Amino acid sequence: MITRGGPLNATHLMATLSFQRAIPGGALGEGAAISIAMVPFLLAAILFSYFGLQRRKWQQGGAD
Amino acid sequence: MAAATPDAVGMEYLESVPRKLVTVYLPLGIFVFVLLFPFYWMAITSFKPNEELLSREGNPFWVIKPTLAHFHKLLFETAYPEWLWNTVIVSVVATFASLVAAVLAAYAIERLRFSGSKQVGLSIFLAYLVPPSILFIPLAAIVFKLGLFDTRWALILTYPTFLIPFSTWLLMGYFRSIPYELEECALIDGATRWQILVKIVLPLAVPGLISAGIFAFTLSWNEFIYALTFVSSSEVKTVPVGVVTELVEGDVYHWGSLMAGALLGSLPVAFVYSFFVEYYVSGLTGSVKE
Repeated sequence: MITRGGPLNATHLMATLSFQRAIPGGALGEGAAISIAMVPFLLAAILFSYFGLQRRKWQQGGAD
Repeated sequence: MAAATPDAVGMEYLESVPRKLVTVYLPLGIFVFVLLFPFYWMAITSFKPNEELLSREGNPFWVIKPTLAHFHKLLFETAYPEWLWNTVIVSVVATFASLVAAVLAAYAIERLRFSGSKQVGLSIFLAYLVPPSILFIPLAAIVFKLGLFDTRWALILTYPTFLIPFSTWLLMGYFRSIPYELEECALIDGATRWQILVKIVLPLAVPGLISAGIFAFTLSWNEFIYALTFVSSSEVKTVPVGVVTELVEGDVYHWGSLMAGALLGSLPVAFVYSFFVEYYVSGLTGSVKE
């Protein structure tokens, strides 16, 4: 937020972009669409952490 | 043990001083440096006069003429004390409300054994994994419709959306570590569920409660995107939002005051934290000793 997405939108994250479009820009729908576009990535991360990191052997330092 | 002793002696040569220096103290030193340098930079910047901040000469890592001008500007020319007060109120109220809800939820899920309790626990965990950057737009619509926009209540009521799942999850783990038998004894002696919760489980769960409370407090103290979205007038802003929105004017960054604001804003949390470190650690790692 400290750079406000500038210079020339070069430092935008998905969250800052969606905020800027939705609240100061007034396009709630566009902002919501941008944040929904994050969901697949989050889902992949969640599934990986849920199934990938749960294996016992791995946690105890053994090979898979 | 007989086999272990010669082993330990045999490994002794690995524990020489130079080796320990490289394997333990060097990584530790680098780690500490990386962690503490931003704080040092924050402190040093907040005491530098503007000429030193902007000049290219001299050592940037030291301050020659320390000044309190930035703190003066922060405290008397902006609404910083109000932001601090707002942050305190919002964090404390939201933390307590969430803790009460989380204790009841965690105890019910962990010990009442209704059908589907596992699924409820899992879905609470999944609710925590949905980040605020997705939820702030729908929540903004709700806050606006309820007429809470630009009030403290907007923040007090929306922070629990991430505090409750988080502290419920933490407390579930802690309640699981409290032995079942204690509750069975209480049941035999004729205690009700409510009495068990208040007189047996909660006193044992104090470290867990404290660590959940500290976590929740820090989370709501640092919360940014909800506060940025739901509040717009200066007298209801919180510290993180107020500092960023009012000390950056267009292209002018008041670095000294920004850093002073960050420094003053991070002190209360460090202060609270320092009281409870031991509880906090035992709440995360330990359990009730049987």
